[in-house]
Amino acid sequence: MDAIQEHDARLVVEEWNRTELPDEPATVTERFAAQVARSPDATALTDEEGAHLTYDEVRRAANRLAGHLLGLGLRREDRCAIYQRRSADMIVSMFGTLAAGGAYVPIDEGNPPERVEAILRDAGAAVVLADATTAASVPPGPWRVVTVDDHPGRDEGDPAVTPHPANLAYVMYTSGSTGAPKGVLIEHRAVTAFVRGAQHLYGLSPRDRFVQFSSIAFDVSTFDAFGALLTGAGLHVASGRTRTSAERFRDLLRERRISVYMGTPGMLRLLDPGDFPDLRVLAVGGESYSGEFTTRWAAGRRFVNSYGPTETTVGVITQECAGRWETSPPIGRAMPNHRAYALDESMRPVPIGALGELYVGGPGLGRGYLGRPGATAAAFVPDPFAPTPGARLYRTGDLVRWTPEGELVFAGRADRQVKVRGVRVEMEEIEGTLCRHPAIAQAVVEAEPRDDGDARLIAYVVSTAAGPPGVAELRETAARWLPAPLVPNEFVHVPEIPLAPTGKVDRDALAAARREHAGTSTGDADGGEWTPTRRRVAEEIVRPLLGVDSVGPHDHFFELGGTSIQVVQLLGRVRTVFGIEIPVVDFFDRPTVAGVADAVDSEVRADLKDIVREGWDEIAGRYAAFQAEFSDAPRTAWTGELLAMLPESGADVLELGVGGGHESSRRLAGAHRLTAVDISAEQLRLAGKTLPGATLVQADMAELEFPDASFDAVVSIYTLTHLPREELPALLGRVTRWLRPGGLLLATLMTEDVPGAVEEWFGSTMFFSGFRTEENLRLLREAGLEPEREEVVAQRTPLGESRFLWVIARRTEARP
Amino acid sequence: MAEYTVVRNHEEQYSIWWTDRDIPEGWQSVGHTGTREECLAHIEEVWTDMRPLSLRRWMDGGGT
Repeated sequence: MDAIQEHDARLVVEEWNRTELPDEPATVTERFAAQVARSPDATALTDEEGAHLTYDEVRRAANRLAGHLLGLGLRREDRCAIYQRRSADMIVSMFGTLAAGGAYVPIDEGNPPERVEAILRDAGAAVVLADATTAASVPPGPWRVVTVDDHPGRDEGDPAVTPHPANLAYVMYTSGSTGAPKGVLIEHRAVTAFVRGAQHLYGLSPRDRFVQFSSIAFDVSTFDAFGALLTGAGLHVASGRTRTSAERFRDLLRERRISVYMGTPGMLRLLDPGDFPDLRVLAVGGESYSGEFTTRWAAGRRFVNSYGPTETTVGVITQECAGRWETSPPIGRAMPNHRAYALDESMRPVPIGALGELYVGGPGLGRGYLGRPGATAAAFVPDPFAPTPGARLYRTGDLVRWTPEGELVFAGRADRQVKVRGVRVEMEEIEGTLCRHPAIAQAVVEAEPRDDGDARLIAYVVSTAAGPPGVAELRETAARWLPAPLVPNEFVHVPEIPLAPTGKVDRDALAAARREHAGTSTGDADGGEWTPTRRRVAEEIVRPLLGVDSVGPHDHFFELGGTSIQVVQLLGRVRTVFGIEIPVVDFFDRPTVAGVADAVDSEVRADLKDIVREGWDEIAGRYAAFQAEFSDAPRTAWTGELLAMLPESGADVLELGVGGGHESSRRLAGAHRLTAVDISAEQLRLAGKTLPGATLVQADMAELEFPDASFDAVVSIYTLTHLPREELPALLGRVTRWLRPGGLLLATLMTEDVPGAVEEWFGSTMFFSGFRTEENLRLLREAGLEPEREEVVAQRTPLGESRFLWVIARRTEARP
Repeated sequence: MAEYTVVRNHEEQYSIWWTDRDIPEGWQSVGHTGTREECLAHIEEVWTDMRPLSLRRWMDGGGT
């Protein structure tokens, strides 16, 4: 590295870091109290559930919650997790926790349960603030669960505790290189310093209207909540539903006349900048974006490229981007009262234009990582240039260079961290997660950068002697523990991880192994990866839209030539083909056939629950018409088989999904004591006429319980085929408990090779999926049911010919 | 080979610095040297309370 000239050293260390702005260390609570005193009746907080709170109302609600938390014994710096749906109450919980002297731990409501638990345990959470939506999914643990919809707490006065500016405000989790997420400790003074800088830089005022759109688990939420409410501005919280649709987001920005927005470029790429005359400040960061994008959005408003790791509180380096941009804009210079340096490996300034690692200093620096002093000492290091003795620098791991004009340009990572759709990813965390799979001995994850600044994750796995698990299984393992953007796009099985002579992983050899495996690791050759929904997404949506000959389940939409405009078209096609909307964020999380299909399946599941709640009877007529086209001879034959295995009369029989009462049900009711269950009241009224003497129960399978039951037989013809297949094991377990030992189950199950996992049934979508025959039989055995007779029967359905597994199984043993 | 030394500032925050270079102002060596990993492992042992010293004193004094 060239020695830097003394003149240049003064320039990069001093001149380009003159950012002084008068400010004092303060607490969020005192700055908020000052704002409440200035404008108690101004609108502070609104949401899409109709909440409307003034500054004084937020103060009183926060104080009530704080009083309740203190009553539970919350101590200073104790951690309070916020695990709520997106609403005004979620923001009140932030202020309530701070007013009680606690530190909040924001958790995205969409996280997989294992990750929620891992965060709660690592944070040592004393309390979990939940709501009616999330309370049931709070994992059990040593924490108290407070349901905020009950609005606990009475006292509206300011609590007796006052935080210190150096007390913790929040703990935010980021991807960690140790294989587990790590909690960044942020103090009150870092938040107030950031807000002071942002107020100055963006000219924030009480006339501004903010939108809380980002996940609460990203520190952009710090900008939204405190940028607005420590300024006197209004904050509108976007619901989870709004976050999933570009159209709804556009309508919200327009209707609420949002004037300040900070976020990643993802959603903006789908919108027209001309639609938002009120939007005067736009801060975009989290990933790099093109000059064209910058020019488009900068016209007519302040556009700022905002850079900052979680460790330095939201943003520390900014670049005003006015006018036309041919290239991706620089990240700029340090925010007020902060310093930024490009240093070599000995922490000496690199010459202007040379590549260095970015180090950041200033009041926005976090305290460190919760419970990780070694990692903290490695990342937060002495500042050899500081005007104040004893100051620290945060080592970002990002590579930058100075332009001659004194602007920093981002140039990649110095380590193995990458950004995927704005989310920080440490490869080691993904590798650690994959190794949780018992058949995986070793894993190496590589990021393949893409042209638009995003990255694709490729996992190389070495399996144990037990043999290699399937790709779907590996993906499932990853998805259980990791947020969606961290789930690898591609898996490659390798016999061993090749090492270079230095002992490091030989990445070139890995890439060669991937080329060799091309076509077998993923894509068309991997038959197990093609679910019926994926096939339909590929054939009916992606292929025609992009005009490509073939598409693999994990091929990246943008790599196949897809554009932002085509994303909108794709989402529209999904609506036409499947009759449902999928969240646009889900698309960006996994812009592949598999990603879209999985999102469709999960929306259908939610949709199905709505039908069950609201409108089953309305569609029952169409259901009957469907049934009429069904070749249903096996029903009579198999009911006959069951009757032959039962005593002549007097048995206790339960039939699930009895409908209006088929001929087969009549035969059961004629000889035995029949309990008939159906979801539809209308169908049950019919059944009441055709099945005299039967006990009628109206219920959804998911809610059905017979705590003391001891049926001689349970009949479930087609009912279990209507359910999402991953729910089958649990349902079989419940059915077993309703049977006496030796009791019989007659069931129809779906075999896998059915055209269309999700099909258009009676105007809405419905499951039509299952497992291969051996898998179905194995699941029965695992539930304690030994198959005695089974047959796969091809039957005509309105969807074409489908194959069903008919089976009679016996409860083998007494289960606890 | 002792490349690094464990250092601590006035707030009793720990970090590491090169043994052959001047320690930045406001930081002192705690007398432990070694490789980078050894120094970080030592810090993992001794830095049991990550609150800044001034805050610890304020909180221990009742914090008002």
